[in-house]
Amino acid sequence: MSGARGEPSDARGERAGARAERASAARAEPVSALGAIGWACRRDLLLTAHGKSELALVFVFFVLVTSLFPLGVGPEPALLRAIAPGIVWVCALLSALLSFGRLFGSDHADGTLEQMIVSGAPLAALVAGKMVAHVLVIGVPLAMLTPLIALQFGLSAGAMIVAVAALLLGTPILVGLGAIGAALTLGVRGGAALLALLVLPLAIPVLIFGAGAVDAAEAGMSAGAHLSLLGAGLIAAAIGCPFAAAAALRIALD
Amino acid sequence: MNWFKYSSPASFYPVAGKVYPWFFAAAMILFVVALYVGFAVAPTDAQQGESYRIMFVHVATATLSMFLYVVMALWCASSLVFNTRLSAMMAQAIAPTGAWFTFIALWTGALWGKPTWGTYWVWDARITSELILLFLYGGFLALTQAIEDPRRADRAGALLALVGVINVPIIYFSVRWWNTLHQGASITVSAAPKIAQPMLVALFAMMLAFWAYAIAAALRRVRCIIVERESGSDWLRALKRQGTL
Amino acid sequence: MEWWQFNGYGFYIWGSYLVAAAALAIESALLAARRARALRQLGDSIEADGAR
Repeated sequence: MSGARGEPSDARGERAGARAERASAARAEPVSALGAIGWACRRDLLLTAHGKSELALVFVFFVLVTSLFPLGVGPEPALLRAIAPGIVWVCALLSALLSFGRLFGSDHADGTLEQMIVSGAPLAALVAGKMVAHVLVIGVPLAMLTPLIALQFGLSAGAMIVAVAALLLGTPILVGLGAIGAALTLGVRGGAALLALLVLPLAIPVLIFGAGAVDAAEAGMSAGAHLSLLGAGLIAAAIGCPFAAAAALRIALD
Repeated sequence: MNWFKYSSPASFYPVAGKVYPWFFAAAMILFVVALYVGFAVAPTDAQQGESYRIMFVHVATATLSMFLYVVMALWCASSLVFNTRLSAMMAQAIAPTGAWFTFIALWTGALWGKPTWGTYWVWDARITSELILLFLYGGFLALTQAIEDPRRADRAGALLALVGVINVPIIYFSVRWWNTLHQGASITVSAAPKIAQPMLVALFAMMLAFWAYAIAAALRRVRCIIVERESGSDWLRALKRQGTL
Repeated sequence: MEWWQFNGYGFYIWGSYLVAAAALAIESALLAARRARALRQLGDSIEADGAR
């Protein structure tokens, strides 16, 4: 099954090695939560580094879709500056949505996911590790792309910085929600559209406070309240989403 | 009374069948009462004229759509905690009715908005939250119908509903914040007319009517769900042979 | 002005109440159809088991 994705042979070797490592760890002593997080995160990062990069698609999509708006509404600078915060956030949300399927998809396809569940390691910790890797691989680059978009839409430097900060705070929350959605829709036909329907309504508060932060900064006001709320949301999501997603995985694979 | 006696589909099915016509009849009577008091007794409003009478159906269905979502989430919690099939079936029986009520609330809200505030749609906090609630119902319905294994569908839907119900206050709070920030056309749909006694009676009667209807519809639907899912079971086939299905 | 024109608001009031009534009617009709379909499928599955 592991050859189905056409990975280079060293990636296959890496997967076999990872499996052996986890198996021996499970046989040895119970894995600590922190250890599980670290292991899952490292594994996903390595797999991403070795595997084919479908990820570039996410970033191309982000830049492409943000560019569509001026084409749609006209090039008038004042209008673009006014709608920029919302556009950046909606497009970031949709781009992230594209990537959520692969949170559990490939592990489910080759059976690693089931092995993760039956291993002794705390599933929520493994999920948290995968979420961290996903944030590093998708969320941080998206945040780093926003200055480019901000420039295209004529946002001020202050707003640009706030946009980056807001996305850094917000994308982990989105990844958390995406993990729950991806786990619930694992292997379901029409899963991608269903995932969008499940995740987008729940992501609305992040959208509101994230875009609100950039809006406030652009208007010269303090974005502190918005960013604090995003921070609070981040803490809540960091604690709650791994457990919810783990529960959803057990429901999907039991 | 031992409620757990009815927690199996087999024992609940006949009870639901006997009970739901009464709720339906009560709903019809209450509708007539509400319409009579709301239109024949309640006076014309000083500011809004006759159009305020839409409030009876709009507020009733909006309130119930939120209430039904919470009830659905409670059934979902029960299904996860007690591991009962019937609780999950009840949740799935309520969902479509809740979605219908949300639709009615949005539709009547638009028709109330046009004569009163000049536009069919206003992005105020409550109407926007109602729209998001429609999406939440939609997600629950789509998920439970897309998953083929009934047991997995039950539990996945239950988890989704619980995640949703936790998020509803967060969503409402954030939408209210968003709305107060963007007070472009400072229209508040919450500007209800000064409420006279007959108006309150009509509103209350309308809410009870829709509530009774929702119970009847949910009981009818759960009976359908039971027939669909328990088609292999002996008790169901026995009832069919007897002709009392 | 007739009573059913509601002082000019007739379109909105009738539009609201008729659609609400129609929604409930459609829901009830769909429920009746669902029950008929479920009973038919039950009959089919009993026959299929009987034939086995």
